[in-house]
Amino acid sequence: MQRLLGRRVLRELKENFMRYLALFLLIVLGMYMIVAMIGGAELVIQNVERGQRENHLEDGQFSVFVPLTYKELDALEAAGITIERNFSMDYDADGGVIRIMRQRELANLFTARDGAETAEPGEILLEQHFADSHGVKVGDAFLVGGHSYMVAGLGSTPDYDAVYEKMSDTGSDSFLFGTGFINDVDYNRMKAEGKSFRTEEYCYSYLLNGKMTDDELKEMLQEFELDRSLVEDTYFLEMLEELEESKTEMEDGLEELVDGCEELADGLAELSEHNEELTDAADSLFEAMLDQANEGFADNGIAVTLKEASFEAQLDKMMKNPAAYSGETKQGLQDTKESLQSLRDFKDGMKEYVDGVHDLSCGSGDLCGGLSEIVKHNDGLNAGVNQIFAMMEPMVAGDAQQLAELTAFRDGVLGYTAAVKQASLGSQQLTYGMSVLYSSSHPIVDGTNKLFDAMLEMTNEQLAESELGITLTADNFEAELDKLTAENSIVDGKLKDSLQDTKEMLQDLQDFKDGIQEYTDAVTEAADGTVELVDGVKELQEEALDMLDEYFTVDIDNLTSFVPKENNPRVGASVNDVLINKLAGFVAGIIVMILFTYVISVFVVHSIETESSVIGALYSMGVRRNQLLLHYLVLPVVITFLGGAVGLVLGFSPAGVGFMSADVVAYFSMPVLKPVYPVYVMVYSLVMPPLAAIIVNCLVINKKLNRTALSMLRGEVKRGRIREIDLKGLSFPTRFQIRQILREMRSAFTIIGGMFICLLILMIGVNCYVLCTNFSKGTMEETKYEYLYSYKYPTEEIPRGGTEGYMESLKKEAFGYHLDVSIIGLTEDNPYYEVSVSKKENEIVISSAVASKFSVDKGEKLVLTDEVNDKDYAFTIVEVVPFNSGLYTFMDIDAMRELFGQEEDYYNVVFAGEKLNIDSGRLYATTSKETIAEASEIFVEMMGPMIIMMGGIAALIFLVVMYLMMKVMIDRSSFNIALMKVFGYRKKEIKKLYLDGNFYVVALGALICIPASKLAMDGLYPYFISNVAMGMDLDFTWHYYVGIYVAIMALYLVINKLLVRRIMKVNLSEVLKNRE
Amino acid sequence: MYLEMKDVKKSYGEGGSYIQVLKGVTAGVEQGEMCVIQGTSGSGKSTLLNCIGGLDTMDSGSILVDGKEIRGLSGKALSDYRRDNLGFIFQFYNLVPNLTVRENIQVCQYLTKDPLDIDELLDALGLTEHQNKFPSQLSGGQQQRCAIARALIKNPKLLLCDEPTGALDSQTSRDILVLLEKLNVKYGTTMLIVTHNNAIKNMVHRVIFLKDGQIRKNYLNETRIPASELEDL
Repeated sequence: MQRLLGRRVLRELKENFMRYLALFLLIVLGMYMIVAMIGGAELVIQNVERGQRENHLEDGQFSVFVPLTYKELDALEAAGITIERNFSMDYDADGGVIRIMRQRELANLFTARDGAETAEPGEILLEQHFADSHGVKVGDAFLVGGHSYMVAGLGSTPDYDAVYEKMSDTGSDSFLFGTGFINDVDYNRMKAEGKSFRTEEYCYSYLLNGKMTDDELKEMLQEFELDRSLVEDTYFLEMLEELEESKTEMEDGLEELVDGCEELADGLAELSEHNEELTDAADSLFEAMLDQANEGFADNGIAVTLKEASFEAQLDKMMKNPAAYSGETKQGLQDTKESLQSLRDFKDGMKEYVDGVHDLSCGSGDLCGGLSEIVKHNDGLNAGVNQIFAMMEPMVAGDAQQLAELTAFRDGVLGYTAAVKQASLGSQQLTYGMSVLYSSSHPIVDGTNKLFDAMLEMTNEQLAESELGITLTADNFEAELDKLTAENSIVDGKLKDSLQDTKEMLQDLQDFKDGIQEYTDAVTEAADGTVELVDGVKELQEEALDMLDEYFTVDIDNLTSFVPKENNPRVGASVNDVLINKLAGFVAGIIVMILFTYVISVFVVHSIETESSVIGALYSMGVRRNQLLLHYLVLPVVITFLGGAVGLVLGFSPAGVGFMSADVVAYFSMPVLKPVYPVYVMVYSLVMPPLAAIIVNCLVINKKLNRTALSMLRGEVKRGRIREIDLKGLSFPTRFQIRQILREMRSAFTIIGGMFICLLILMIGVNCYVLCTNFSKGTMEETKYEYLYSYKYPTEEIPRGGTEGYMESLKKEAFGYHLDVSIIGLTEDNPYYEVSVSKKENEIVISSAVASKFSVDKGEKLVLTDEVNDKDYAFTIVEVVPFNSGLYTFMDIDAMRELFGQEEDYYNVVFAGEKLNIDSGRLYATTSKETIAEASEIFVEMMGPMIIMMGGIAALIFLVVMYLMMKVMIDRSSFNIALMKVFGYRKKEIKKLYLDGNFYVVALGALICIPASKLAMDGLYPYFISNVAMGMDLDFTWHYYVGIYVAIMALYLVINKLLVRRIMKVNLSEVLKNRE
Repeated sequence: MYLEMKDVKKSYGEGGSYIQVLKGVTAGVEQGEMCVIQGTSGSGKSTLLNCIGGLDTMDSGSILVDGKEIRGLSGKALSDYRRDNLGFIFQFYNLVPNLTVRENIQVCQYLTKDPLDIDELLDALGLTEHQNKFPSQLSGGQQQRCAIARALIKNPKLLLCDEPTGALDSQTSRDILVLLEKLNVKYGTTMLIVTHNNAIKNMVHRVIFLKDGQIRKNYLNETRIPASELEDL
């Protein structure tokens, strides 16, 4: 029986060859697409993983400010870790940037696509896509840093699978950036020449060798102390020196202060020693002068005794009496008066002078107190300063112990500055006293000089009266008076005594004069000392305050980054990119195959219904249902199996996996792909389609065959409530069309189901296109600056024409990927971002990209992680701004500086509207709007073929499914169509009744399926792009919806047109064949 | 003569399988007549009916309906010919299964601008209470009545009936024939009934007897008896 039934299968196949051929081709197409997707993904995954194994992919990498010491490297080696220097320098090369590295020996080995895998001196190995983009081949000369290298090999390294310039990049352009590997000798020479536009990056690759975990290694690295002697980076050295300079300047200021203080103290001591002497001398001098004048009066018989309080009035009175005194006497009186006036002035000056000394002493006391306080804090200050440097090596920012040390230092500096303040006040007081003292010293000196001169003149007059012919001067008065007062002198005794007194007085005066000179010199010296002291104190105060500020912003970690391979976006990016294809391929395969087998089942059902009486007869003759089930399964199973097999072969062909992986291969840098034939893909392709056919058909056919022989013989049609729905009130054609659709519900649903699946496929492509174009467009619109300079070593002054910003990159996990999220600290006047940020440290504004990527919204919390320091930052989202070009968040720059412990004027990025003249050695990177535009557009270019393929496949499947289903509708209605023809219906009318009803099915189906498929795909898309650090702006404009709708209707009209011919082929004799 | 057939020949197949079904049939039917074409299986009666109905083409000869030659008409012209002139009744009713009784009748009502009143027709055929039923819900007789109503709704000039009672029991057959008779009287429709049932010839105006593709008898029935009195149906 089965053999006989088998013949019927062949006949069925023959009769409906085109139908089954179309189905077969549909399955081939579907399986081809699926195998190509999964196989292409496997091709990439297995080859990349092989490349990673064979080329010793690092377990991770870390960067440091200062290269590790040999001791540290030895310690790592001793711990079983393999470390390879992966230092790099960037150079301009043929319009792009090439990152030059030493050729690798231990990890991330270069694998060649063309040429050699090692470079001899004078040779270079280039990243393959970069070379291709620049038209460079093996054997060509390639110019880097002024040197021409012979290209020895083109290939890839596993640590640059995605050739991103920066890890935070979302895309790469092989023309704009690539890697190159040269010999040690060449590298060292290039390094020595210093032509790299960026400072050398100290990056190390590590292999854990199973000896420790990433975290343990990180802890070990953090314990290493920074060896400053190894710092070669001029800008880093400059930064260190700036810090050290503060210390030196502070020490110098302190020293100056102490010197000034000592000098002042000496001057004051000297000054003080003469104080009493000076006052006594002045008093005795005045009294002696008064006595001398009174003695002179007595000798001349003048009964006047001059007193200190009234000598001026007394002498004036005497001089106004012309009769009483001769002119000579009056002249003497005038001289006496002037001498006494000079002496009184001198005395008064002396008092002021002494008061000045008193003030000076008080100021000096304060100053000394302050200084001793300073000295007391010096140790603390020095310890604190040293601590700053100690802080630069271990980099455990935020560590409790460190915090305690910082606090101690701060206290030291605070005490210091308080002392300096006190000293400063003392010095001001001192300076005031000094200035008073200094100004009052002038009349003293003048008075003393006048006094001495008057004394000399008076003595000379006396000598002239005695006619001795001697004139005394300041230089000879002692010698001449000694001669005159000697025992053998010719002068009489009385005169001799007088001369002796005069001599002694002149000596006293001269001593006094010298003392005063000495005294005022000391004052001058002290005054100079105080000026110096004030400068020193001011300098010290300034430095101390600067240092205090600077101390709290010093946060230099030697370990600048620590990236395990799992978190490195450059590593295995291609694998991540295709993983979703694999998953999508599996799911799509099952869905598409269910659709296809359902299409087949529709035909089978049609056959069963047509052959109902035959089946009834067979049943009545004892044929079992399972036999018939088997019979009706044969064709679907064979077709799906063969379709799967052919699809498998095509899928694994270059036109399959080759085509599907072409974009990935062209974009990512990977080893030469060797064909792979995963067994599971084969099993999947050969088993899944027939299995789906068996399951679907069993469910459908079994139901159809599960009727009695009589029912089958009578061709009874199962009544359905929906089919018998009351349609009163509608026009006849409408009622007829509705009845027809209700009758062909299975096919109609298949059309809608097929449409939905095809739309899903289409949406993958269209969403991809929209995502890329929105990203590109958004990037261009949102990037308002022309240049973005990322600093490694920012200058104190913000470059002219630039707007400062502070950017930190933290991590956030999404779908298993740790993505970079940038926080941008903005100043209020930043013209490049129209974002209103909060002043609070814990409040953040996020971009719509972040919101969609991490499914967060306003008012919710966003936790970002600093993976280097194992620190979490929790923010409250205060606003979501439309910003789609990257995972950006925004804060107030001051709040951000405070949060991340930076100084109040810190910045690390500068936005500019034009190119700025910034020393490239200070920069991590320069990003121009132009390069951003190019990088963003590359997505559209790259995804173009995939988008077209998706669209094409979707359209093709939809066309075939719709054609087959509408055709089966006509086939099933062929008798009635023939009947209509018999009744005289015209082509147009039959088309209207039997075909045009599908218009509503398709139109309504499209109306539902387009948004439904869009929604479904939007829901799935986050998984598709889970490894891409970008937002997900999948918004369609209405044009897309209309476009897709119109395309669907156009495809329907094409099918409708084709099937009109089919209607015309329906023969009238169909009616005549009806003999039941 | 409303329907005039002249030397109508029709054959099928080639070579060994060649068979001439109609071998020069010449006959005529007057307007308003009920005519039975009777013959055994394979006599060519259905083929002749198909040729008259424009469902099949003749090899040679001529068929004039209301003076209009149908041989050589294009598909569209034949379609218009059927649309404007003919009504069909089949042995197995050929109702559209997913349409109600009323909707099945409307299939043909839709084709003409001047149809009969559907409700009146439904009433005349005793289908008013069944008008919203689907064919599967009807008995054979009800289905055939529906088919008749469908054929008559456009008030055709010529009604072609191919074994109209072939699938019905005796009583139902009689009822259908009574109905046809009434309608013939009421609407004056020319009716051509193909049957192998010998009893039906007694109720019609004209009898054409075919055998091996040729007319053996062609006569006017002078002794018509009402359909209700027919026996051995």
